[in-house]
Amino acid sequence: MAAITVRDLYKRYGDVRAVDGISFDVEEGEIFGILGPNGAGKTTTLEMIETLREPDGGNITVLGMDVRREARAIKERIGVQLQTTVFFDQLTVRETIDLFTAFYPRSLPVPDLVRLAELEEKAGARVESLSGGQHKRLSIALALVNDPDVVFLDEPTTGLDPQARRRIWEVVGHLREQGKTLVITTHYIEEAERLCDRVAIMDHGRIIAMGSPAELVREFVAESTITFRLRPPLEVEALRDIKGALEVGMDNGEYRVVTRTPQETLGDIFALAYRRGVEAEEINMRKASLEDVFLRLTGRRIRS
Amino acid sequence: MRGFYKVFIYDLKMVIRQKEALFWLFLFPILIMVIFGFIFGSTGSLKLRIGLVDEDGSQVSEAIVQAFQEIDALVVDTGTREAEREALKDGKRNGILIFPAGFGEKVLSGQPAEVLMVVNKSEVSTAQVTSSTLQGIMTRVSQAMSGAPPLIELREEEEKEVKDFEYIDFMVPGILAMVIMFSGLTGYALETATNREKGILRRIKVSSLPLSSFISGGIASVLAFSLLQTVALLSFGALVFRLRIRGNYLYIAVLVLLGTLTFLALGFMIASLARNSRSAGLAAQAVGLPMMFLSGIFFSVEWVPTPMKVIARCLPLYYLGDGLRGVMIDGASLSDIWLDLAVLCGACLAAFLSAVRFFRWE
Repeated sequence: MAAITVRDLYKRYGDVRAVDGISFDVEEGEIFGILGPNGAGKTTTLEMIETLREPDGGNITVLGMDVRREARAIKERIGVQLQTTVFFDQLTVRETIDLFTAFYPRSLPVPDLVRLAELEEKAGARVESLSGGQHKRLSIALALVNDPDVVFLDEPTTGLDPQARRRIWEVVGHLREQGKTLVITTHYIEEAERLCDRVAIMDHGRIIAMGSPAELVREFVAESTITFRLRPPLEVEALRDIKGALEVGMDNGEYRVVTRTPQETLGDIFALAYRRGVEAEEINMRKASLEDVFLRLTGRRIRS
Repeated sequence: MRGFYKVFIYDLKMVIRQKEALFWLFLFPILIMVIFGFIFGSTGSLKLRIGLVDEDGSQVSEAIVQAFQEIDALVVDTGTREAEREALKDGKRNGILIFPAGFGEKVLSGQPAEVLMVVNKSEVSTAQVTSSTLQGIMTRVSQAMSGAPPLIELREEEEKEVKDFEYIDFMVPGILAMVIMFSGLTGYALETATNREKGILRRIKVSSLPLSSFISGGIASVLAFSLLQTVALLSFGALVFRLRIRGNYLYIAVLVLLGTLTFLALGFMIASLARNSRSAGLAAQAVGLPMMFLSGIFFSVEWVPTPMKVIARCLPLYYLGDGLRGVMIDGASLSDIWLDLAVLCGACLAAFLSAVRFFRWE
């Protein structure tokens, strides 16, 4: 059974169609990502599922319950981390979690939640002393106090440094092990590729592609990009005849060849270098990512 | 209920952990009381300083000096003519009386005797009092000595019901009302506006806790602090300024709680209407400061021109101050101050309804 179903969802703010007719299902135990640039409608979508916002049109069910009619019952079984919430500065981490456990009819023990969010060493510290990453982990812990079946994380790593981001991913890993259904919004490609079983790519309020990260890349961008340097350099035209080359170019002495058949193309690059008596160095091959999928579908980069 | 209780407890904790908040809650009101107490409190116990110069040294003049020294309302010094005149010039005496040599002899032989009175005219407020007091005393003395029965006998009877109150008794209920107003207008209401900005209200909206439990837990902690503030302020007043409270303490508590709720509701209304917590803070000040000066908190509105009286009677703070004074000074019962209670209830309800009407989650 699907944990969440969304059908023909609409939301308008004035003239802006924030969410413009989207439909998708999230399966139980799945980590589902909504990927898109700022202003794509990710947060609005999430907040309508969380019962925070009233949809202008369409239907949503969470765990088989309708968001409009059964909001109260839904709230007991979901956990929500909002994008920007800042908690009470004067309370400690442990006290804040304890306070939130009183907001639900049933809740997990505070020490378990502290452990789950990897906040053991900060449990007695005031909230105001937490770093950005620790504060985000606290808000994840607070999303888990009622031991929810479905957890929503709205941009859980935005603004964090790479190390803090990895800590969050670890915490998400714990949740995956517990078999929770997760919905995560993000505009980080790497995060979506690493964490999510399936991804919906959103732009201007619409879902423009949906599937597992690997499927999406295969479906929309089959190409890989090979970059390298030649010493001494050759003219770009010399690369045109490389086998499988769909597109060639050069930037600052770095050559770029786009291909669908990387093995064949790579071999031919070496062959060319050998023939012309030049040295091929700093060879890199980059497989396509969701970023390329987005670029292909919209002509823009996600973060711009 | 568990939600309400935890919110209440943690709200108390949060306030206690903010040193700044504690200053405004407890030290600031006491500071105001100390300042006003010292500025105005001393005028209540006015005593005239009289210098007596006895150049006569007879039994008669000595008896008069002794009689003066027994009068409670006077502080009597004796000295030479030069010394006492000097003291008068320095403003250390309100007036002096000089009994010249031969005074006693003249009195005993039945001739009219003269006493010189010099009054410090620079102290306008007391010169009149000094001169008539001294004249009154001397008239009585001369009458007693002549032995003739007085034509008019002034019979004195003590009225026990007179409420003699000092400025401190009048001022403390006012300060209490002011403190309650400011903590209602600017305290928890602004906190809620801040919680709105921080996204805490929305986070609570997606939990199972009704917002009413969250807010009422906070209100309960504000009420608890109001009572603590009252106890601190009144105890300090009683210990340091000998504040006298005649009324029932329970009635004072009722007024304090009702006043706190009323101004909390007003604060919530302002916070709901204001764009953000910053402008809510400014708006609360803009409402609170004029109210403080116009509601007769530091002085009685009976002394001000009629238009000001009308304005005062339109402000809820006036009724809180009036009710508190009624109970604390006159020992009024709740039915005596029904008007104050009714106005406060009405204002509370109206402000609460509009706060709910304009409430925003974000």
